[in-house]
Amino acid sequence: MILKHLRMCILVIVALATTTLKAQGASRQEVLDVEITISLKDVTLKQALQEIELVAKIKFVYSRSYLNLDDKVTIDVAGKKLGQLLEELLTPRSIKFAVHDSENFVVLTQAKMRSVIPIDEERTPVAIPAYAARISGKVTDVAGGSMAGVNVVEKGTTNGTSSDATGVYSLEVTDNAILIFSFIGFKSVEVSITGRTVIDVTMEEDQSVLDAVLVNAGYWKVNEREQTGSISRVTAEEIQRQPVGNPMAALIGRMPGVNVSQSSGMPGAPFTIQIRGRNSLRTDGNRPLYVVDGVPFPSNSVGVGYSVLANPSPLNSINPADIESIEILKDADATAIYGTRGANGVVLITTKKGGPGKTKLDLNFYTGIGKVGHFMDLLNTEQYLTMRREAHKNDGTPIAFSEYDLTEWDTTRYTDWQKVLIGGTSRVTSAQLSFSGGGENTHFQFGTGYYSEGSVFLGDFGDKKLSTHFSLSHQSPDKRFSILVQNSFVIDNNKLPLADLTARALMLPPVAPALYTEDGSINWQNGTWPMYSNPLIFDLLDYTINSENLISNVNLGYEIFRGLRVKANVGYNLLHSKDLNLAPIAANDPILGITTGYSDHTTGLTSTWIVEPQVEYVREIGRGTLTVLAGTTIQQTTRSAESIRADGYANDALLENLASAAQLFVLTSDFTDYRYNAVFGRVNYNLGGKYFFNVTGRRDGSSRFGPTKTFANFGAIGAAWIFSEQFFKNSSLLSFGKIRTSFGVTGNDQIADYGYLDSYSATVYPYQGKSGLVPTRLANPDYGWEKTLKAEAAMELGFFKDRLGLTAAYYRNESSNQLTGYNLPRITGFSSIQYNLPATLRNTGFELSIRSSNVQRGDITWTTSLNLTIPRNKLVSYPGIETSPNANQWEVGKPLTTSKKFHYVGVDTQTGLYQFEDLNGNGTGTDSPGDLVATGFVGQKYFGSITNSIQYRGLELNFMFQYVNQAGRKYSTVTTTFSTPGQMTNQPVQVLERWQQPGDDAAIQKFTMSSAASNAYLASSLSDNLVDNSSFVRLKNVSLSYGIPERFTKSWKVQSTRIFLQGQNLITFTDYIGMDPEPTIPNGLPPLRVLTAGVQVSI
Amino acid sequence: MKVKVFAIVVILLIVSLSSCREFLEIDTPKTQIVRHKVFENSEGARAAVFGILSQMSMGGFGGISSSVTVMGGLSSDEFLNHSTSQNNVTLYSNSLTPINNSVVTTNWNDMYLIVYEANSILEGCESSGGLSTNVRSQVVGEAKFIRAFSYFYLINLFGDVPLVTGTDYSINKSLSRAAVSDVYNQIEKDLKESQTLLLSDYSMSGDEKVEPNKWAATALLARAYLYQEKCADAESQSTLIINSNVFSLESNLNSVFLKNSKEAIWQLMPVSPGVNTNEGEIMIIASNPTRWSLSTSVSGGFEVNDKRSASWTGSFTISGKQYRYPFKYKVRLRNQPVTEYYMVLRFAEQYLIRAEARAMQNNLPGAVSDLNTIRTRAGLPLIDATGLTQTDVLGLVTKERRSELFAEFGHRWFDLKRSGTIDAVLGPLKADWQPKDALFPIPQAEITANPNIIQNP
Repeated sequence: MILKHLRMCILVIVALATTTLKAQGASRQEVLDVEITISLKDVTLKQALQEIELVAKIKFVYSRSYLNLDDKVTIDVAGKKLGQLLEELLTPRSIKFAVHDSENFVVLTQAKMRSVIPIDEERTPVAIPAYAARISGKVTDVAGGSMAGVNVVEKGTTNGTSSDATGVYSLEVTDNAILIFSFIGFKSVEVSITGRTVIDVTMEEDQSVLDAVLVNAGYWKVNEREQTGSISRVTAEEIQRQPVGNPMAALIGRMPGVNVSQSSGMPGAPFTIQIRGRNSLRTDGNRPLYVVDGVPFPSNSVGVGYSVLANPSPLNSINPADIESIEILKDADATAIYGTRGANGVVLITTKKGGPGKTKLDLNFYTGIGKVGHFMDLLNTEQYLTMRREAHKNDGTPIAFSEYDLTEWDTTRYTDWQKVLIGGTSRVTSAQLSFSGGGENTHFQFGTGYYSEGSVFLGDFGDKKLSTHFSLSHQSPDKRFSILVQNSFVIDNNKLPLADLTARALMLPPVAPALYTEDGSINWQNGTWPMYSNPLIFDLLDYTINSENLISNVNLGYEIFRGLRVKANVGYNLLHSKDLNLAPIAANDPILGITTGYSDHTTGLTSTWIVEPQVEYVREIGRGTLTVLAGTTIQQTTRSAESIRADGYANDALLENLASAAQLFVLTSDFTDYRYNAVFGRVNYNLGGKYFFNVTGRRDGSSRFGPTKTFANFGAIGAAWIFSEQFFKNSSLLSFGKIRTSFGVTGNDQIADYGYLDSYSATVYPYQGKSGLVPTRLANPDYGWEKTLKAEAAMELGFFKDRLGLTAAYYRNESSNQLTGYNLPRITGFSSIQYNLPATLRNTGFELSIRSSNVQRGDITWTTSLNLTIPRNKLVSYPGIETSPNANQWEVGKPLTTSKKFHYVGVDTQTGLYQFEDLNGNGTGTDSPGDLVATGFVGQKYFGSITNSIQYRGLELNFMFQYVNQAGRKYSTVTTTFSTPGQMTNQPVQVLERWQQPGDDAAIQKFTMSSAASNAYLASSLSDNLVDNSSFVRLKNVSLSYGIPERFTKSWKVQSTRIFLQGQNLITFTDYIGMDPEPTIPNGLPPLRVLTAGVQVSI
Repeated sequence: MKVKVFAIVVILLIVSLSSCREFLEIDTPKTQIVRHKVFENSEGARAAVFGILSQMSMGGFGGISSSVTVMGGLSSDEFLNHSTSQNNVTLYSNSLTPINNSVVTTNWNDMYLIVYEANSILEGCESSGGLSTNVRSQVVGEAKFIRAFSYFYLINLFGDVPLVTGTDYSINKSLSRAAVSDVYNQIEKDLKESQTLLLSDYSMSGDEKVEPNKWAATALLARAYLYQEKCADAESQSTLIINSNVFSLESNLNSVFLKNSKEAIWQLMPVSPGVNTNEGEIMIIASNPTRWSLSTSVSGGFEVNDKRSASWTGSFTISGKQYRYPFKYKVRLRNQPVTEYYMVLRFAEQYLIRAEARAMQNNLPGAVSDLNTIRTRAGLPLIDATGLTQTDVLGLVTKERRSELFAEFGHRWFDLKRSGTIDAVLGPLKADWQPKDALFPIPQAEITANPNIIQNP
């Protein structure tokens, strides 16, 4: 096997080519003028066409059922013009050819469209109707180019023709006939003649047609029709409809099997993305691999900052407007080629490239507002005071002086802290400019953009992004050599409060003091602000994350001889972040007499380079096509992070100047080196366009593993069969049918670097002026790879000429040899060690996606797409769990989300406190582990979305509902915000349903400040009482746009103008009590409701 | 238009690596050093000790708000709590459960981390050939002392605890709790070895008293003996210190807690930037109290004219309400010249240890004499031993310990437990007091991760 040996490391190929380049403006005729040399003997016409495709770098487009290509032919030409060859080859067989604009398509049609019925049925006698009129006209595409080879058929008959090379057609029809215009890759058009004799038609491309969609599978591209693996895709169009700053936000709900959620509504907040469930017991071992234009991209943040976004999303520094498509690879067939990094799926981000055609300038501008969509109903002043006084009555305790809400503050005040602290309006503005064009062989795209997002917080915060993107591709006229250079650079400036004010907004008593004194200065209220200071200090405590992201890559390709192509992908990514945390003197209550300020300066740097030389060989073998790919990856990623505390500033104005600090301390100084080397290969066999086999494999070596476990092998096989080609060829119901399956093994190396290294690191602070050393970790020199076995079976169906499409998939992933940070008791010195746990985790699931063209009539089209995922997660085995550190956490046979908790039995009718079942019978229900029991189901039962798209003339409406059925955590336990009702913090109005007197059967325990009650409250948050139904349906995205008709815009010299309204997170239907049913980081701001309006102009 | 392009030279694959395995062999990160290299030379071995001391100074032994001092002060009758944080409330109301207090958990974790680090030093020195005898003695002696010190607090806070004396996690992860007496045996053994290994001056640390030496080991050993009621041993160890002529009582109470004071046996150097001691920063009240203040049983427990009341406690009045606070450390604000170090072991305690040991052995005049040494410094009248019973003298010792050692390292909490008076004293003061509250519960995470640990009753 190719993968056996990794010793193919020296490979230097220098290709020297002298060639002639044609610069710009290839016309259709030029395609036909290409001189080709080919020699074939006794092959079918179909095979001959395939050979010509390879030689002439064109693609023939035809309908298999209309043309007979089984004739045997012999060709032996040298330097003959393509047009001439085709003339000789096709014309005698009554096949017409015409060159189409895009992608060098040559369209083949029958010269005499006597019948559009497949050949077999031709024998059936057809009554010749009496023709009443001759209709003629021209078929053009949206850009105005004439379309050759379009089938024009009179509806309900076999009468038809096709358009010629100039797009002109002519056909005799009966009275009141309806004409159907169809062309592969375009939406069919039906026109009623209604007395006319000239009918011109404009056809639109149809992205949904399987044949037209090329899917990026990473190391290769695959026609969606022919793909053997499971790959989901989101296109630029779908991203553009959403006013989002982070590309991950655009994925929410859009793909089956992919669960994306936003951890907070703050700009730059991280996203969690789980592809087909949680495969690793490690909570931080479930991130997918991100690859941007072939360059691996960090999945977690580069800095070590102290920001409220503990882990700001690095993907925030990718401009969504630069993205052409995002593909998510899910099953073994698609991911095994990524070996050790493929277990959690792969997210491929492809940026925009230029295409042939007119030079085009696109401008896109939108602006809008974002607000918190839903506030919690909290106690008002009267209710709050009732609660506090009742607590004292229940406890029989006097009011302590430090209970300022009852002693010091003005109890007639009422402040809606949610409104004050998080009720602001965030301004969103995006301005994008893209310039693209090129000739036949050279294409370019240049884009630049500005994006800014404000915040809803009290204070001046926000995220600003400036980006540029450049792509240049070129191929030599003989198509043997190609080069693609891509470059993106994003500068991001994110100014955030040091703490998420949401927690304060929820817990500050409604009687808490005013923010400002009467003279407009900060009101310190004698230092009585509860626990925290006046929230205004967060406007003074400046936290800024500045990041720069450079992604640069070069793709080279050269065809050494026919069928053999060498390629290389060379990429580099540099992600640099600088966090600045300023703590000025002014942010302190003056009563404390603090006279100095400090600042933290944190820098993070991640750089990755990757070199991937590859060889691809394509050859006809038997009746099929064999494609072989082999390559190697060499990658190095280094990360470094430094954090310096500068202290002792006497003047707030100098806080950013390190030189003015009295002392400097290095808080963190980290460095990691990760190296990765692999060989990989793929063998693909396409048998007659019906059967597809795909074998992939990879041998990986990674520096994250100790010397004995450095290497491991991964691989997968996939197969697909388009059975409709065989059995349903003529079915009017089933137009496409395919089954596919795959099986393989992938790995997971998402562990910390150096886990095998028994080392010491420096302490933050020196002792006696000398650096101290402490052990870094417990080392285990002997851990190995975590492996995930993936299996999938799927069926893809198309009905009614693909107007209704359905894909259903069942997957089963089993992850074993769990590479966990094995939890250890702290008496070992540390909390965990890298360790291979013999536990097995299984994720199974069912994914369904349906798309349907409901209406496709004249001016109106209406399409609906739906996706559904039913995920299941189960801890299948865990030998020795009883004596393991996870004994009281998980149960074999249950999902990981189901943990062991106390069993809540309600509020004691006599004491008014929460009660728990005393399972071990020792008098209390809160002994661990004695009283622990596995909770009911927690997690997602199913999720998905429904998207509708309606077009009427220039008007387009697109809206998506996201739905999630889940059992999540109760509002009171998601956050640490709320404490025992009765204490000095505000509460949701639901607490009013509390126990008041013996005999009450209440849902909430009595108002009290006693420690027994606070223990009961805490136990309840560790009990099955924490589970709550947090299902929801959300109108996630709405986009309404209108293309201003050309007749209005002609005078502006623009090609097209669209105006649009977009909305995100507009309406949420849920029974969940809390700000948002989606799990955010504790005390986090929910994702905002955003509404924008904008305009898009193409010149 | 056609353009001729000559010679497109393309280097497609540039990979020249003599061996892939070599490529994957990464160096130790620049910011880390492999263990065996740490102990190759004296700088590395000493740095490993400094590492622990730096952590101690920043952690629960360093007077921070989650320190042993605070835990002891809130749990006993020393502090009044003003904070609403769960950690402070549950300590103050003695309603700790295995899950409701992260301060207790953090201290458990940190103390065992210190044990691990000390064990790692001991193993590292054992296998190293590169250390001079002097350095090896110093480093090993300090590591053993540090291990003993950590265990002393573990058993006094939690009762029986697992006794970890090596770094092998596969053994350590399933250890059961060892009896307090077994742990004391290990403490005694370690401290006796430290006594022989460590110097009897402070020359190793540039005459600053910031590293434990022979006298630190002796002081802790005296205390360990006293806690076990091995009174003769306690007396002999404290006598060694009292007669050493290395230490003396500072006559000015305001000088006791200054850095390298005459009374200091071992101090932790402050390492947090710009801070004198954490204690000074958090104990001194300068606005409405958000943490705790001194209880009236401490502030009202001083005899009339006790100079300690004036020197070692402070008061702050706001909105007509007066709060008293410990004022042993006097520098609150940051970025002042560092004049104070955090006192861990001090000379005065040795008199009190000896007084108690002598009283227990019925040497009442000897005990009273030691008490009077302390009282003299506090400006109090001398006690006449005549006619006092053993119980009387022990009562005087307790009272004197309380006034002298308040808000220091949980002395009061431990004294209440040792003397068996804890239920009688705290029962009336704390609403939900139960005798079992004298022991902190083992953190739940610990039991979860190690089923061999059985919780306290």
